[in-house]
Amino acid sequence: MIDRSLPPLLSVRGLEKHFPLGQGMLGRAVRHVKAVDGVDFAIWRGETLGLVGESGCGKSTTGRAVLRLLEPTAGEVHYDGMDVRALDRESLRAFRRRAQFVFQDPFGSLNPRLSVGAMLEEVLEVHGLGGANRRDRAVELLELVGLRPEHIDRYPHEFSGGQRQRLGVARALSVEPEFLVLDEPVSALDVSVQAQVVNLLEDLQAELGLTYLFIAHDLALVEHVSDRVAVMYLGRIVEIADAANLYREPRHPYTRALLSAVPRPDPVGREQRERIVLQGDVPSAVDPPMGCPFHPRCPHPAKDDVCGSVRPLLEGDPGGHLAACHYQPSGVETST
Amino acid sequence: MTKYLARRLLGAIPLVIGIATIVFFAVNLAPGDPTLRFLAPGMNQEVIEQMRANFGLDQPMHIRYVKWLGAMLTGDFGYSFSHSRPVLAVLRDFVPNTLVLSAVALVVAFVLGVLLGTIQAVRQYSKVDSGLSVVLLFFYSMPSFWLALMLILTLSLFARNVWELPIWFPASGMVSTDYEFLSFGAQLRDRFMHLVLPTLSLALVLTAGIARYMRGSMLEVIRQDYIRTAHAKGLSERVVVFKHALRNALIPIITLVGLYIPVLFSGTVFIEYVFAWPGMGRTIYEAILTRDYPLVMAGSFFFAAMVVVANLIADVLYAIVDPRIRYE
Amino acid sequence: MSSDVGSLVVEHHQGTSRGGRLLSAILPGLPQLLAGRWGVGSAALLTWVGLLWIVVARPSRVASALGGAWDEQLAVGTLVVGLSTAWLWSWRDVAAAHEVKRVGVSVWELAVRAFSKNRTAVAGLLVIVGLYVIALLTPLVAPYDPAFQGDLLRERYVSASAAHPLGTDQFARDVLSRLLYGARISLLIGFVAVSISVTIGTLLGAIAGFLGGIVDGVIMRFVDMVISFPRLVLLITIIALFEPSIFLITAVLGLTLWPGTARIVRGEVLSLREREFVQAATALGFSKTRIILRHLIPNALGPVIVAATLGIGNTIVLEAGLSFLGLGVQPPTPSWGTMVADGRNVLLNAWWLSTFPGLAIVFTVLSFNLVGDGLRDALDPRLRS
Repeated sequence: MIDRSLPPLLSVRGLEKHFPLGQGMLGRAVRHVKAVDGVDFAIWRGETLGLVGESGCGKSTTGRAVLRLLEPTAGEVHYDGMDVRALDRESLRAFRRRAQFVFQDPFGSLNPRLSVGAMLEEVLEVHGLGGANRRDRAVELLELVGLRPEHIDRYPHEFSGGQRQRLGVARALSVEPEFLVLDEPVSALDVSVQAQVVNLLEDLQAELGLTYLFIAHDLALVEHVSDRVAVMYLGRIVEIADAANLYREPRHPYTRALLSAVPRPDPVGREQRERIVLQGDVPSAVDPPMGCPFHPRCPHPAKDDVCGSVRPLLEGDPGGHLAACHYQPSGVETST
Repeated sequence: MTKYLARRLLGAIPLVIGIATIVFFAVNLAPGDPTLRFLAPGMNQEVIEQMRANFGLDQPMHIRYVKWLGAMLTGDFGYSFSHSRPVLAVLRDFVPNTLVLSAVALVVAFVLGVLLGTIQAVRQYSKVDSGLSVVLLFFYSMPSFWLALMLILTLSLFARNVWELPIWFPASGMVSTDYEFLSFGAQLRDRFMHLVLPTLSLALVLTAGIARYMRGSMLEVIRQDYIRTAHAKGLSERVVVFKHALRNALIPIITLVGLYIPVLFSGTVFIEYVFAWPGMGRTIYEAILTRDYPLVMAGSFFFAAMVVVANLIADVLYAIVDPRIRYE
Repeated sequence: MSSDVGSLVVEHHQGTSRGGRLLSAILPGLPQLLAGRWGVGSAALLTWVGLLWIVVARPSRVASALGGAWDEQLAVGTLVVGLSTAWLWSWRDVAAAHEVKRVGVSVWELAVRAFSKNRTAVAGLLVIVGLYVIALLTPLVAPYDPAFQGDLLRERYVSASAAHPLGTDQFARDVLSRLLYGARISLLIGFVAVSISVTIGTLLGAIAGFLGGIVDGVIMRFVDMVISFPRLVLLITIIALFEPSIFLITAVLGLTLWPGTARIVRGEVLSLREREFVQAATALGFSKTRIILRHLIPNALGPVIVAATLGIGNTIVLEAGLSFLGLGVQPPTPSWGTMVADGRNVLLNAWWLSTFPGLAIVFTVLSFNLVGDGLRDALDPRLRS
């Protein structure tokens, strides 16, 4: 069970990642892509935080920045009390044993020239794990993710998409981490296979006591898998809450629009639900709008000039359901 | 587009300076003293020193380097020992001949290569395609100097002496010895006849390379959907090929031609040597053998600079042809 | 559990039986040829027959070579190794099991298989291997010593005859023998020079591509400079200003070729860098050295191998050109380029002097080009999957 009285395992404050765009005459960048523009959240040991949003909202970048696969341009990341951004090479390598990453693309995420066994044994060798017989440990890892030990000398191109994704998980688990960032782990798979891999991930979490940051764009999937969910839009978190609460009473207009688009196989609910269709395109992350990033497309009846000039902060029930909107449903305390 | 070109031009400047530096140090760090040519036994030490001063060899390396860099702006490349004239004059005499030869060869290679490659692509898998592939591979693997000799053997020597054909091509020089006495029309013909064999020797190897590449490029383009659309619209084969496919297939060829320019210039050394063509290639070769440093440096630099210029031109062509770059 | 098996590869061996073993013992390679595996079959058969012919036709030469100069001993060694390899391979092959279940087909094996299907490429490969073997065996195979001068009164400039299938030159030396010895020079220089350039070029290109930034900028500037320079002019300058020797020529040829490889590798690495398995290696805490050496370079090798093969062809042409200009291998060592140059003055009357060495160059380079093209076709689509 998740013990929220303890300090969180991962805590992120004001995280930013800006990418320089183009070159001015002197080679210095004039504009930036603000992929992640001020993100706060925390994850407790044993829980799964789902991170959802549409393509380009910055969720993958957030996942990578948290593990320093990309260097954040600003903000704080604390893991189990350590300042991740300040780690030197040795400590960073030790950190990598505790926090790992599972990639989205099952085709590109494995080195085509290494057999599965060689790949796992290399990881074990680099970190000094596996004891006397690394091959045995590699076989164990294969069995852990539901693959047959006989396949240990096979090469990635001889596996299916679902199996490759399992291999990616096995590789991440080979260092015996406590925390995994899963970047759209099933998005590239066929629907029938997705369920298998998701079940595997849940079983592993229970078995090994893992903590997950689960990044995806499929809302129904995230609801199923997560304890809490954060919704991202244009580089910022616009709402964060327990999974059940978020889906039952979304407070941010964007979340509401997203949820209204999720197909539900309930003929009764179908008439009662109203589809919120957003106008316009997602603006680019190069010049995000002033104030609330969502305001140009926001269908909220109370939208006004404040929305276009003042950036809303995450507010709501402390430690519980938060949303970044000036006009949250009544009964919720906001600064407006 | 102007920004793209401006950036290219600016980038070329350090490149040129770097090349000039390499040339300078490669030549000046070599063993061998050029003044040794002029030594006679019993020569006075003072005379030797005087000669060295004349040729500027008595100054330390870094001063010579700076002077060399400055020469690029002033045009004063020094004095050529072996020709006993200012280097610039030597260049003026021989550079145009090389440019003529190279330009003609390049045009021939390009046109012929594109044509053959297109034919191969349009008639893929036919006997024409296979046959051409074999022939082109043959020429692609050929050393240009040997091709030159074989062409001389067949089209010049055998044609004239053994088979006694009415037409045969001269095997040396740019013009015949009695050039001055010919009529204008005959002079033109004379120049042309002298140009044929050297141009072919230089061009055929490049043609093979271009044709092979063109074939691949054209095949890729033909498979694209927009070509299918053109066919579906009912356009004739010729229009589809020449108006639509060719344009797009040519784009990578421009890059290829840019890559081939240094090869072309290297080839002129051999061809001019074999055909006694009075150009920069042969001149540089002789200059190197006689250790004529100023001429060697100027000649090498010229060649390298021409390559940079050619690449710049290729970039311009690229920008014109590829609309994606135009709007950058 | 896993829902599918992936591609399990089952190879059927055309293992022939009792008669096959006897046949293989006498004529290795024949059973395989008869079974339809013409590539390996003809290779084994040709090796066996060719090498055996040498022993049978020139027993005295072989015997004397045993105690002779190092290259003669090398030739005898090659003879023995070649014969035993062909015989043993054929024997083992015939006796092998009928079905071999393979677990794990690597990307390389896929490429080899694709290559084997390309007939012209395999033919080119056989020619090249044959050339190198002949080059090693030359002391035993060449009819005459390349420096041996016949009767200067009667045997100069003889065209094709029984004693001299390719004629003689101005010193009454046998052209065929000189051609064979010239092959050794060309093949050796080509191979070594390209090896040098591939090593340097791959390392620098990978470092530049992966590390980026200033390192990349510096290396690539240098690469651009060398590539822009007409290579021949640079070669001539350096060789003429120092004394030409095989060592210098090889070194300079190699050192002017590496920038091309570096550019190719850098391009590959740049695109590989974005592939997630490289990011995974970083995420797993691998050092940059390890990533470059064990992950990037092996995956970038495809185009490098193609370029290297074609590069050997180019280098052979260039070396011949340098010899032609007098700046290559110095007499009396025979080189194809020198031989072409020797024939230039007597082109009309003794055309064979220039023609045959040139043809030798063409066919050698052609074989390398065929193999290079075949490799390109075999490696390219596989790599991308």
